[in-house]
Amino acid sequence: VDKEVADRSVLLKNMLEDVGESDKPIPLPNVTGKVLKKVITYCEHHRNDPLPQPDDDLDDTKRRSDDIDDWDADFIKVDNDQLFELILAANYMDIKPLLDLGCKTVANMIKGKTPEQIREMFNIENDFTPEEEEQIRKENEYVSLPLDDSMMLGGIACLLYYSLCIANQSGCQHYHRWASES
Amino acid sequence: MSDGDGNRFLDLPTEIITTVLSHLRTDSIVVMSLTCRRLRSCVLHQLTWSDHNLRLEDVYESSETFGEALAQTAGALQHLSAIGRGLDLVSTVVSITLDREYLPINVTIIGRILDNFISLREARFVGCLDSGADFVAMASENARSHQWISRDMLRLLDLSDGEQRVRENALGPLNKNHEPHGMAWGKAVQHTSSEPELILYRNLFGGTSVLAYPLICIRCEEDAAHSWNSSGLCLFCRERSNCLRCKISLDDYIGEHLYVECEFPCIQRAQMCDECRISSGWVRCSQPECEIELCPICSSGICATCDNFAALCGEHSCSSCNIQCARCLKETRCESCFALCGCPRCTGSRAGTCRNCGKRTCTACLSTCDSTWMGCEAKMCQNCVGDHDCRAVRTGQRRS
Repeated sequence: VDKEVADRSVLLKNMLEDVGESDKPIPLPNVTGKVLKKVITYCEHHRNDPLPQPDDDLDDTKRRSDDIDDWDADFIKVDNDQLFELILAANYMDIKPLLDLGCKTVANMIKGKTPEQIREMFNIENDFTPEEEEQIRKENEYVSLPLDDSMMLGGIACLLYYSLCIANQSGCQHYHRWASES
Repeated sequence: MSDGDGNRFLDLPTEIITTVLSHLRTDSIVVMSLTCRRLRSCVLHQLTWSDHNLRLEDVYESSETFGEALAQTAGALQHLSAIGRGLDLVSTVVSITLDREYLPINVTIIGRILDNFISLREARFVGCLDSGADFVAMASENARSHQWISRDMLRLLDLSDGEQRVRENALGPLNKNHEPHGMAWGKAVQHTSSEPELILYRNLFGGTSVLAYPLICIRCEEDAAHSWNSSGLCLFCRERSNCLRCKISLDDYIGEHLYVECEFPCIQRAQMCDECRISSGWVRCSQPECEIELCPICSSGICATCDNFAALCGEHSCSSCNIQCARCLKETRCESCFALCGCPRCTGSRAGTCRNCGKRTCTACLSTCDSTWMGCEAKMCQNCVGDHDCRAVRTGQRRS
């Protein structure tokens, strides 16, 4: 691989600078050969692109996900497993444009989907308790009520739930676990 | 967690999931929070440092789904604040940006957002309003708009239609005396109300620090000026000498006139070049060498005599009965003086008398009566009186 291509990865760039001129192979233990081949393809295509700047994240336009060019869109047409492997490889090798491309692709897959569809797409288990499900249901129903009433009802629901938790220690642990995770 | 079949979204590090969330708008972020506990945790973390701008994805194609998504998103943020999870999201949202060409939602959702998101500084609901009258009624009720203003937070309220929508409405057919709201909110052509709600809308926020779009054009002070047009001019004033459709200069076409008016006794107008007018249904009078134009409504007439397409201006059509095509009208010219003596139906009722020279014309063969004797009042000449199968005579009743 050309140095110019390898330099697309901040990890490799730093390593090459550290070891200097050497024929020794650089180990990449977290990346499989198949994924690495795909990453090299990406880096070769984008070898002449300007390197990302540190303040790019502040640019709101960078957070768009509908600006993927045709080559990248075609490149990233892979199954979910390979997509997540590419994202992890890009993250490990510190190739920000590829990481952004992967994250934008995942974001585009999520848009307009319902929670059930997202669970099915990413094979996510619904681990909410019935109480939490009830809480979520209320969030969706809430829109038909004025704010003051809703806040009052929300507060009442919270108090009721907490009272139940106190009455039932296991439920209380449950509540605390949910609250701490949130 | 995933069940180990290789689909490893939840195995991604939290910072990557957070990056994915950063590419999503508020509605998708809220939906992600409803999938599982880990994502809910990531979302709640995300919402605390997000840019506090409520936005929705551009994936909704109907007003119903769009309205539902907005209501669900706003409701979820309110609920998360209300149940005291340490996140006062309702008071941290400082802007809402909904920019649609035209996807009207129930005005009560807009009202509720303005009621409840108390720190809103900029509220953009572009293309979200179906009727300005509905909003004015909602905002006036119980001085609701005064409550929004009294917080002294709101600086911009944008309820404009999208540019393409306004442009389509401006292309017409548009009433010359249209109400200002006709170019402001959705129902331009069909709107028949005479209530100038754009003025009422302006008065809702008059004398306050709220910049409320649509404004009224600073030049003509009649039509609406929208947020997407930073000059403060309405579309007609902004593109004063350009075709509203293709934007080329109209100077060569219309000269000093700003727009073309239908010359039939109607009230339609257009500000388009020749080609655009033709493609949108405007036609020239079908009388040879007549340059007068007719709007799509007036040009859609059918000849009452022969059922052919008829497009005649006010000068070339009979003012007494139904519209006639050029061919049928031409046949009723007086053969002596060649003046139009009326359409076949009217010449029948006038006993075939030429309006110009006073000679009688046979309504069947259209020849001038040679008889000069005073008693000739027949509608047909002596040649035709026994052979009157001419359609104009046979069907001499007015078409309904």
